[in-house]
Amino acid sequence: MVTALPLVALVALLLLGVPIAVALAASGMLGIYVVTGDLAKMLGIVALTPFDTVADYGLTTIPMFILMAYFSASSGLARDLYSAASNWLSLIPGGLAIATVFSCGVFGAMSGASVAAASVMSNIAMPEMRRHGYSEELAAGAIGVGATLDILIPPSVAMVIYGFATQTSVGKLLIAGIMPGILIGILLALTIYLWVTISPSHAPQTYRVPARERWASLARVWPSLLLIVIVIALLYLGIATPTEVGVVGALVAGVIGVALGGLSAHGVLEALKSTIRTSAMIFLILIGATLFGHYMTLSRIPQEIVALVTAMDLNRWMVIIGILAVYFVISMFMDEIPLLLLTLQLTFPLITSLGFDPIWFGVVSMMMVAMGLVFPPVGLVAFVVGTTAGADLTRVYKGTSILTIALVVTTVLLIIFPQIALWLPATMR
Amino acid sequence: QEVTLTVADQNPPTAWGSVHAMQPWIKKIEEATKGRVKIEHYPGQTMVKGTETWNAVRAGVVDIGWCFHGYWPDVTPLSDVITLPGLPITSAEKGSEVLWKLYERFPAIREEYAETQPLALWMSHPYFILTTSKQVKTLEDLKGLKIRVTGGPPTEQMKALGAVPTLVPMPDVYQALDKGVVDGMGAPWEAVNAFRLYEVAKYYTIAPLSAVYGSLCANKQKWDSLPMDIRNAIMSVSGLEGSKLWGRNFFDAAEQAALDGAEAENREMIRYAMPTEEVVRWNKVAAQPLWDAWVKKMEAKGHKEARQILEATIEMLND
Amino acid sequence: MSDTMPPSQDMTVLGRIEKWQRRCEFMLVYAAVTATAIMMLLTSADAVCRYFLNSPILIAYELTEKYLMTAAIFLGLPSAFRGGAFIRVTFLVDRLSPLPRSIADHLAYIVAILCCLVFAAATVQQAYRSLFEPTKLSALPIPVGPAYLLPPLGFLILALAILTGSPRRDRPAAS
Ligand code: NA
Ligand code: NA
Repeated sequence: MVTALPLVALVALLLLGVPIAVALAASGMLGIYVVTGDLAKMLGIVALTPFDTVADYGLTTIPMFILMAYFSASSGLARDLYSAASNWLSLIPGGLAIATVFSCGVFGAMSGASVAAASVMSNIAMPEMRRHGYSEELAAGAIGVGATLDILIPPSVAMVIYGFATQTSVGKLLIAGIMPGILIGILLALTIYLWVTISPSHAPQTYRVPARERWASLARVWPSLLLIVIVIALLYLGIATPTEVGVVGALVAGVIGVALGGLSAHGVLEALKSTIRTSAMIFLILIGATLFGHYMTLSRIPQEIVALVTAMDLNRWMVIIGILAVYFVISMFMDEIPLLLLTLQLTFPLITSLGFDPIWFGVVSMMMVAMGLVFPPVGLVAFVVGTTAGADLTRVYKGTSILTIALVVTTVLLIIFPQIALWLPATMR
Repeated sequence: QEVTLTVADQNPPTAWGSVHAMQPWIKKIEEATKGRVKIEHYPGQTMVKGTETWNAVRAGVVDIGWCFHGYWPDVTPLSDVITLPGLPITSAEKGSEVLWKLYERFPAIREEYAETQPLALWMSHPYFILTTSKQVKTLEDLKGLKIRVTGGPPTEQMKALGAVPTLVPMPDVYQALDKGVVDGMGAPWEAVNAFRLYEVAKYYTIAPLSAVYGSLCANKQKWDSLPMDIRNAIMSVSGLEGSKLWGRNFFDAAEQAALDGAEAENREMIRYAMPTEEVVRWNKVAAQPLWDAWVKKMEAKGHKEARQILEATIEMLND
Repeated sequence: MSDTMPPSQDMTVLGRIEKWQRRCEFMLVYAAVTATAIMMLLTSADAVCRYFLNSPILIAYELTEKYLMTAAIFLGLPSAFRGGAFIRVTFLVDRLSPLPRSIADHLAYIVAILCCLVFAAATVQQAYRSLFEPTKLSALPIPVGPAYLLPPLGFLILALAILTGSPRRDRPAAS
């Protein structure tokens, strides 16, 4: 019973508002001590874990995927994407919101972090939608849920974290996210269209942009496409390994930004600083979660739970639905990386013992992460949209909660047709 | 009473080595100690990352660690003798046997492990070259090819042979071979099997490359705290016997597994054993000079017995 | 930006300490930024030289892993805190009345500072041991030991940063 005490401590610390990384680390330390009864051993693990976690070549992709996003944003690539999409879709009811979703999707191919996408799109798309009388709910909802596309469309920091936590091939995970990402984009556009059809007051205006301007704005999208094509080419021509492609991609984004998008020296410095801030935080959570993971490993709690569930001889689909229900509840309170790192220690062994595909479960986990990011009460992406766009959080949540329907439907489809995720990685053998 | 010993292992629980070497060894220990020792095995870097295992064993974070010494150049430099290219190593089992005998025979080598208690020393068979687009048959074929190796002696050997040594992290190797980031790599059968390299590489050339080695080391304090009969029981299935088991089961036996894996997937593996004249050519440029350089470096560090160790190694390997 | 130095009016002892501390953090951020930029350039150069010139930069891999990543992350810790990137779950705390809420906030800070100090104390021991290790990078004879100084340095400055300043509560995350 004492073995489970640190779990209680973790929940208590989280609820008391202790930063997530600290709560994980502190309860992890407590846990290792409780399980081993050996202070020196606990300090020994604490001494090795930080360096051990950070000095990992494979994880250079985390800061680099983030840097890529900041470079693409500061060089105006995202702005050009949005103006092209909105010029073409402005005729459709809710077209600007649909354009937001599509530009989020394309921006997702240049960025590894949904938080970056959310703040970039809030700056660009929100003023346009407001100007055309869109409701705060619809506008903020489209940005928020659209931004979660970023974690499914490669590159993706969350996928790297999943690979790190479960020793699954990151290359295959990233490819597996593409089709579900596109599917969410389409379903999200449909959901927006339905919403606006049912209650037109949320998107009162449609307007026509002259054909010349439409084509001109489309032409301005080429630097973004160039970046995406270069990154894919780097990988397929054998110039860079999957790990290096994050690094080279960031450099290419910077070079394209400076050459074509007016990215200034000051802009480069600010992008680097923001990258440091975000990455340092992610790694502090990783370190905390690794410590907590050591406690979980030593306590053998995951094995016991797996044994317990296996002994209950439940239908495997019951188990997965149960897991998803629990994920949904936890995801209300917790975001992206901690959610993954905390839960995978329990769910991954269970899922694989039941014969589910690790890559498929990676994609399904991303869906749960995506919901967590926009669903109240704690949704990091919703927070970012609220603060960056200056929107009322309640209205943001109303919008994201409605549009989460697209995520739920995609998850259900993924469970019924796992091929949606597994078909592409299978083609790469 | 019952003693529990923790074992940290970087290899995933389902990997060839875990199933065929680690688990049998653990079972032998538990049997030899008649159940008085219980081993808790933490595979897949769940306790500590591979690169930090040596530190973790010494700090007492774990009781026993599976240590890959290629991570730590200059920590056990005399033991590195076994990684010199072109040594007459016929199998991993034989190599591991010699490594353990060297440890027993030379106090200077024992000194390198003074902070721990080695339970077994293992080594691989010499690495061979696998390539994706053409078979390497001669030195000339190898020239200018980008070959993935690890740092240290393998890098030096590739340079001497005229290839371009390239460092790529292991998880990226499959795709690096597939997409042509590298033209080939030096590998043991264990890696071919574990990373399914037969899916991307067709050509296998048995060449006199260097091998890798490692250890299963126990924390010194923990070891000294165990009753003598338990220590003896553990050593009865470790030491020389244990080292041979590790070499045989972890590396030698993986060859058949790799061949079976390739056959099951209908992949062609073209194997080429270089004739002796060619082996002699390779060793002339990339073995003898590196042996001499190693002896010189060790002597500069004050290890006067370096030459003697090298000669003993060759003699025992030829035995 | 929150990580640039504000003009300091308070020139008491505490004020001076804070000024030096800010200066220190400022330097760490720039060191972290430099490490990130070098990481990007060096690894890209490695890929380019390997592909086009058939001669990779052998040192890139180990230098990135052991020194550049660790510098970027550990030296960036204080700026992550200053930038308000410490993600907290506050929905319960926000509903408390002022007194319990203040107690909870203080508790959070104490736990955070203690935790950083434990990290600093433990990693400084590892750093001390590593400094006397002969381990070198395999591609160039650069010792690995000094890299182990980065975690304790980062955690120590982070503990000081938490001690002397509270992050703005209204900013939920780095954006
Ligand atoms: Na993305
Ligand atoms: Na949430």
